[in-house]
Amino acid sequence: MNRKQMYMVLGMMVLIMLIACSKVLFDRTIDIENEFQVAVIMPADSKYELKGVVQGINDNAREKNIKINMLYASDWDKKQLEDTMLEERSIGSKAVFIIYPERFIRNYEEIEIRTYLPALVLNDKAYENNIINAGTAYYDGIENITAEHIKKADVYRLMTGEIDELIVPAEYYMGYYCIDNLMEAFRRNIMGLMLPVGGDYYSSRDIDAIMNKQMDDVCIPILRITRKEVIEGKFHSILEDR
Amino acid sequence: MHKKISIRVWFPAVIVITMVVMVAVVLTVASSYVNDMLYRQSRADMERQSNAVVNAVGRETYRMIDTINNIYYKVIKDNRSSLSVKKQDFVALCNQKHSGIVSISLYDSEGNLLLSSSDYYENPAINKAVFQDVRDNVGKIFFGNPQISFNNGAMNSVIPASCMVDIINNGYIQMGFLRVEFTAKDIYSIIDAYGNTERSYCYLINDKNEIVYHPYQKKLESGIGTEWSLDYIAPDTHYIMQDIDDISWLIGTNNIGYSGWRVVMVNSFNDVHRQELLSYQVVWWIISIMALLIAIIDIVLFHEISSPISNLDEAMKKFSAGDMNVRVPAKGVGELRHLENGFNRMVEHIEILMAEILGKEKEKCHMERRLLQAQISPHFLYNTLDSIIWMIQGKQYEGAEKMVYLLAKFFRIALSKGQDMIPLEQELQHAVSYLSIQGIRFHDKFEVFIDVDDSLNKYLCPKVTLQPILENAIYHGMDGMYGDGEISVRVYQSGENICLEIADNGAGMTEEQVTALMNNKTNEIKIKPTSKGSGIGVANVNERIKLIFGEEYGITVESEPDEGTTVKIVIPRVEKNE
Repeated sequence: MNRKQMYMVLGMMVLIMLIACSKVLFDRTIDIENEFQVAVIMPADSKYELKGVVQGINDNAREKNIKINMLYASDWDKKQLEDTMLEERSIGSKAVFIIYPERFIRNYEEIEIRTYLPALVLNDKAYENNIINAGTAYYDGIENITAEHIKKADVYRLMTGEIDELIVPAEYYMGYYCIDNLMEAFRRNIMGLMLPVGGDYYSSRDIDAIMNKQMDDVCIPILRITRKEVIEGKFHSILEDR
Repeated sequence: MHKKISIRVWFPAVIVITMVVMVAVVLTVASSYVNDMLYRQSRADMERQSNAVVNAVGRETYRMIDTINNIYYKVIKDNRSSLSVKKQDFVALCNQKHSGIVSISLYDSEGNLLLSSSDYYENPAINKAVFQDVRDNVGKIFFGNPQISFNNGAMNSVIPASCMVDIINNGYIQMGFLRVEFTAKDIYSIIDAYGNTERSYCYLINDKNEIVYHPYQKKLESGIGTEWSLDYIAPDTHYIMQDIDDISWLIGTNNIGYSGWRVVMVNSFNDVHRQELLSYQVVWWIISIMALLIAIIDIVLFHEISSPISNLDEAMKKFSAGDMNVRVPAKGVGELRHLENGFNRMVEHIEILMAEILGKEKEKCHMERRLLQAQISPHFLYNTLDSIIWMIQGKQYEGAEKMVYLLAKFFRIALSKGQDMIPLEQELQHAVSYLSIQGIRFHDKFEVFIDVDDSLNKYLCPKVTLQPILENAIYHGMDGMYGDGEISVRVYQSGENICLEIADNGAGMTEEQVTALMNNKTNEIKIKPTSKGSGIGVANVNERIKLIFGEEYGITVESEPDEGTTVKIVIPRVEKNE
């Protein structure tokens, strides 16, 4: 190796070191630039009802440094939803989470909607062919659940001893893990992932059948809350959403 | 085996090792100092924040206690009022804005509800057993875990506070329990105001390490994770550092007066001091890179200095081994380049001097050969001239004429235009001329036999090689012979060499005489000198041959007294163009 080559190698090393230093110094900036952005579209009139879901979404998004664009929709048609997805894509959203579209889209059961982003759709029940590529859903164990929400009166009944326990949907849990499912949908480029929610376990009261299942096996996870636990100070945050 | 390590290796190695050790020591010490400093700073920050939360929660609980005392002294101990009047007072207190009171209830000593501000129900959540602790500690107020409470159609999280009281009902006194439910939001908002994040949060626990309120309560209650820091909580105020999954956590516990609750603060040391740690990492990198750069520059500079010295060393070794063509490339800087140039000039100068010495040495050899030749010719000349004079005096004119002719031929070949080497054919003619002259002089005292391989005539031979040998054969070998002397000359090829063999059947010599003859020391031993020969011719010829062709060539003499002498001259086959 002659002197010229030696000095060239030395210069290259200094340059590499400077680049490495710069990378370490500006590491935080890079993190911010790589933030993942997700659009969440939900019915405007279900804000309070979906408080737990939204809280789960926000908490998980904060932990994973995901930016959430929360959109409240009311009385939309197919075009508005599709245009919104296109707009979200243009402003950098990587995926879209649509919560109960049947509650804010007119004639939801009769139309087909094209998704322009990897999408996760949360439905009150299982619908057919209204979201393109819905058949690619990978979430198993779909139960035909009716979204009968636990009301304050049910808590009252529990506290007065009329009933011994309550089965409530773990909406926070659902919102939290829907973000993970959405990330998975993005990773696998699944354009329409239907996640029907609801079921007849409230009406059937077949508690054991539900409880014997693993939480991940049912679309909407449930919580079994006993009066004793409430007296001990547990599940207050869940019950307060009622 | 001990191997000597070059300075070019160990000097940079020592510097690099020293640099690495120094950087490691500096970084270790600095790391320890910075970590300690950051820990103390984090702990101080946490203590300050924890104290702020504890003070806020303490103020709130104190306010609750104050409220309970007011209820007790102003309402329950009011002698004039009945229970129904007291209920109205309770309702009025609950309806007061910012009082934080959700419900006020009175129980008898058995735990049965006497009256409540709420039309609600006899809260089954209130286990009569919970009053046992209150009963055992008269005068103390107990704060329970948060409860769900219904009041006026609203569902609230409340914090119950209970104490033993003397209930005055229309002038009668009975023991009982007062239970006041305060809205939990006031306490919760203090914890929420901390600005909790996943890596920095605080929560409230009771004396049984049960969570009273957690900012991520819903997450925990939904079954997503557990509060791991509960395993590291001590009963007293303390702060610990715990490493979990590559993250250092600072966990602080601080007791709150009156309530028995404690505030637990959990901070990720890495996140809280991320900027400081980042700066520290940058400094670490810069120091390491600087050290590396200095080491590299040091190695390069040392290479620049040591390389010319090493080249000089190598060149010196080659030069001392006799390589005169060695030169050092002038690559060094400053004084090193002067050294390299000086060495090269020195080598060139020595080379010139050596060439001069060699030239002088060759000249000296040449002169010596000339001198040896010069020693031969006069002998023969004055002996022959002596013979010619003698023949003229004896009126042998014909013989004298022939001898003069032969002498002229002899000298023409001997001179050979100044050449030292002549073809073997000419040398043999020279020998024949000489023998003819001597034959005339000695009147056929001996016979001559010549046997020559004609193919060897073309090869060169030092001139006047045979004549001195023949001279010795005639003067010493034939001395005392009377017509029966024989001298034979044979020229033949012997391997790669030419052998010129001169033999006589004369008096011969002893071994000592032969040795003396070859060493040119005839004066020291008894070789019979004659007036016509010096006796030094053989040694001279031998020296000449060795000078010209080398030590492996020359003359060997085999002789036996009274038997004769054989002289062998061995020379290489050298052609003229070589």
